[in-house]
Amino acid sequence: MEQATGWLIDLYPDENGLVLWLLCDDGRRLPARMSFPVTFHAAGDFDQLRQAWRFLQEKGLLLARATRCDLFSGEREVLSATLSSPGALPGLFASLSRQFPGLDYYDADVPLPLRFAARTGVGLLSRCRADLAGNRISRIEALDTPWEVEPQPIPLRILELGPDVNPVLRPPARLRIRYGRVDYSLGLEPLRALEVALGALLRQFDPDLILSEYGDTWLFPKLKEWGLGLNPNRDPDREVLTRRADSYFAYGQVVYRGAQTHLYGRWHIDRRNAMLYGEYGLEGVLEQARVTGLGVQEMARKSPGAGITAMQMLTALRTGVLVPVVKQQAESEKTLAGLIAADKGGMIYQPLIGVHKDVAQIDFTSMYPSIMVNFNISPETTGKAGLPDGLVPQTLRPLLGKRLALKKILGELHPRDCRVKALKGRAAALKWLLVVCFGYLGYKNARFGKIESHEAVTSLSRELLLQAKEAAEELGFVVLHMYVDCLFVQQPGYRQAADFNPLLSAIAGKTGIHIALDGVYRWVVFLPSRRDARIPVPNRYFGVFQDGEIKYRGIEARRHDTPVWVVQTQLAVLEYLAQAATLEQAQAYLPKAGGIVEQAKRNLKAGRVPVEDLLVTQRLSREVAGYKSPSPAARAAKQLQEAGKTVAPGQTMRFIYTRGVPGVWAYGCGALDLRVVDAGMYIKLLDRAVQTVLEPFTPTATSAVCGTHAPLLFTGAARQAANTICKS
Amino acid sequence: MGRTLPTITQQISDTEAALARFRRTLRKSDQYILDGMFAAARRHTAAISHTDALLPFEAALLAILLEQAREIATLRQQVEQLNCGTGYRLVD
Amino acid sequence: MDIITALHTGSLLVVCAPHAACEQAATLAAGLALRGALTVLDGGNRFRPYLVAQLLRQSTVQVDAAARRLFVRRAFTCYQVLALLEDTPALRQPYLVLDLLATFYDDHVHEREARRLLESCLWQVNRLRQFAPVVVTLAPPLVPERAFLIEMVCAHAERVLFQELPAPQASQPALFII
Repeated sequence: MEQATGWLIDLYPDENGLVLWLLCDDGRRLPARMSFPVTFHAAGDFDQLRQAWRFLQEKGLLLARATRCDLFSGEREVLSATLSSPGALPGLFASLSRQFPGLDYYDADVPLPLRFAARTGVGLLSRCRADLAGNRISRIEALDTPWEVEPQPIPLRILELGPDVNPVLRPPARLRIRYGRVDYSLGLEPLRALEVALGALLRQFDPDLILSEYGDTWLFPKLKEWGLGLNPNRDPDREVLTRRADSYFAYGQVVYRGAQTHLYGRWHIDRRNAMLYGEYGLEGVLEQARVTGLGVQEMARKSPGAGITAMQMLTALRTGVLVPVVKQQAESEKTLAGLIAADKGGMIYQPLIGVHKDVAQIDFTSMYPSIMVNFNISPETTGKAGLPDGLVPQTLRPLLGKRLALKKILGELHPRDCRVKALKGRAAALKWLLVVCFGYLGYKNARFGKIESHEAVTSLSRELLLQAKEAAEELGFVVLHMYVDCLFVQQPGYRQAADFNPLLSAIAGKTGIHIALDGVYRWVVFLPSRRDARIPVPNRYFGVFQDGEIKYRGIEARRHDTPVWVVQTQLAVLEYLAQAATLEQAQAYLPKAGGIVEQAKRNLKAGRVPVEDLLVTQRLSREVAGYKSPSPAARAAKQLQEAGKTVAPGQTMRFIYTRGVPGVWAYGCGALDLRVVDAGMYIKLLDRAVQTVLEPFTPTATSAVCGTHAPLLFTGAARQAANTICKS
Repeated sequence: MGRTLPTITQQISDTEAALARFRRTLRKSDQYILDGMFAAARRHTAAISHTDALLPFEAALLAILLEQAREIATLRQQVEQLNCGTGYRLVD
Repeated sequence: MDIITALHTGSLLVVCAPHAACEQAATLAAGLALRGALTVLDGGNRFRPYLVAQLLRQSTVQVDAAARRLFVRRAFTCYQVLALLEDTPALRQPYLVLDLLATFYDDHVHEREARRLLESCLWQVNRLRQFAPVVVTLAPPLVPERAFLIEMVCAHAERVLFQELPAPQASQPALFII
């Protein structure tokens, strides 16, 4: 009997059980097999169950009657069916549910890594010890948990692959490869040479991770199209797993997901096709894979919502709660008044429009998840007192704890510490899971969602925010603004971080939720609506913290469709204004700020702005043919189609505004004649963006400059007399 | 799932739209004042929402009156200051 | 046609109109709530609570009392629609099922499954109508291939009202009710 210690990096079914890959401490990448029968359940009409029993019996499954727990309906009599080949379950379930669609099914579509983690305690990326007889694992145990704040790093061998140019723009000629510090460049022609060279590199380096650019949408499909006899899997008996591209509606918009290529025995991540990779990088992907129990390849491409769902499934499996295939729970009855009272989101104040100085922004830490954990909000506990932790708090508690721990470590490190980048990535990855967990509580297809729980969280959040406001006002602060889980407060003479500690303690004590100081602004501007300067807008503001850091929300620099040239200029103006030590000094900086803008315009007119900095990015919301009045994005998409490229709803279009018809040039449609760039349009965009940040400081602005009061509304004379009365 | 009811902001906008013919008939200067009244209501959408009122525009009218009262108080202070010439801060 | 006076125990009235007749449904809900308790089952986010409240206020100052007699449940998937109907008790008070089919056009739900679910839903509707009148509103089919779902519902109805989109009329709703 041999023992192997290392990390579990992959698992998937074969005919007789599972194949597992261990990245061993001794450097081996060890494949092993393990038997792993899986069980699912059915419940419902007795006659149907009896027929289903016979159906499954003929297929050789092990059957039993059992009593199991449904989260919503409690204990339930179920038919339990066990099969020895986990790989056969999807096909069997499809056939069974087609035959008996009226039954309720449980645990029938749980991803295999989650089942494995629930039963053995060993999840993907866990450190583990396995007892092996030959290549069969007889026993496996975990040596760590997903909640290690500083897990032992996995010594991954990473091979980076990518084309020499963006395949969307023009056909690549070479494949760039990097391993460690060595770079290779392989010609794509002749194909046979490419096959030999690439295969040799794969064998030589035997990477655990192939990190590619356009690997999902170009490289691996092309390798297949060219018919190369190259198997990028570590498992030589497998074909790569491919998934088709897809457009779907989610979160109020059409989302495009490119084709996918998954490998066996090693991982493939395409940076260009990985969800939120830009936000938290490889460390974040690994962190999410670790805590969710889903594989790295899955988690890199899936939304955080899928991660939260996986975590809830894992909790359910571990605690003996059935995982329904289809969510059927409907809303409980409400009166008309009850519906109006319940159907609300977080509390959003309207800010006091204008420029304010010495303002502290304080944020509740992970407010909604904290509410779910602290107040035991879960589908089966909402509205009931004195119950043990429900499924949702059980799932979230360690996640919340880990995120807070990572943030604490980050807070103690010097910004230049080499550990900061990785820790930030991990913390951001966990943040995203926490951000979506509330949404999933109310998501219609969430297995364990319930709208009453969702409503309970928002109700509590509104109450807690009001308690925070009251605590602030009791201590003499003016609340300039509140937005769901944060407050902007001000008190004359309070400008150091320590000045706000009593407030933070008071709020934490009153609400039971941790609250932290985001920073103290030297000055912050709450912007009004473009439509009417008297109407406040809750999520458009910008300001500079005491340490010079700028924060901005809702302005052009935050919009995805703003060209880089406009963003850079707007931020340059902001950064220049931020140099002013006080608000009063900021006005003196205005003339030179105008100079920055004029220089930017001169650069544009002189053709010194790179084309890439003028690109506008907009999403295609439907098929091109579906537009009655084509938007600029649709016109760009049409150009791409005419150039022989495929476009799909949800895809991002990048284009330049041009003079004349059609008014846009789609990026990727050949070379652009710079003379047709519509400079007037870009100057208009720039003027608008600059006006956003400069207008609040101009003398003609009706907003108060040094005080806290809102502009007056009604009479022209009152509008002119918009200054507050300050004690001299 | 999640929210299905219109927000108070949407409701105020809907009421504004429903009063489009009323607004149109007003002189321009009065249109400005009317727009200001809706702006005043919009400043207190959180409070209006928190009333859970079946008829939220009743609470919106209260918000408009609140802003009017604030403006009157501010103007009174300014008049007194002009009369007395002393600095005076409006206490929140 | 005055729908309210046409309702009686055992009746199933189906109204097929643009937007599942949501404004007329609000008027009906308000009218029924003035008379007694009713249950609204909303299958397509068609219920307009504030509009119902305004309509109640046009007839009574006791808006709260009328509102307390109006019970609402919402469904967001076709599975939830069935679950909603299954655990709605059969009481002697009218049922208003709004946009019953909205969630049955989901292309993630196979046509066969949509048919099966709807059959079960209609069985439940028939259960409820044994004790009280039921009104079901439908919108024109989102997906032409699933127009058969409307036929399935109408086959159970005592009466079916099809409404065209009315010509737009300028109207000024009252701001203040005097």
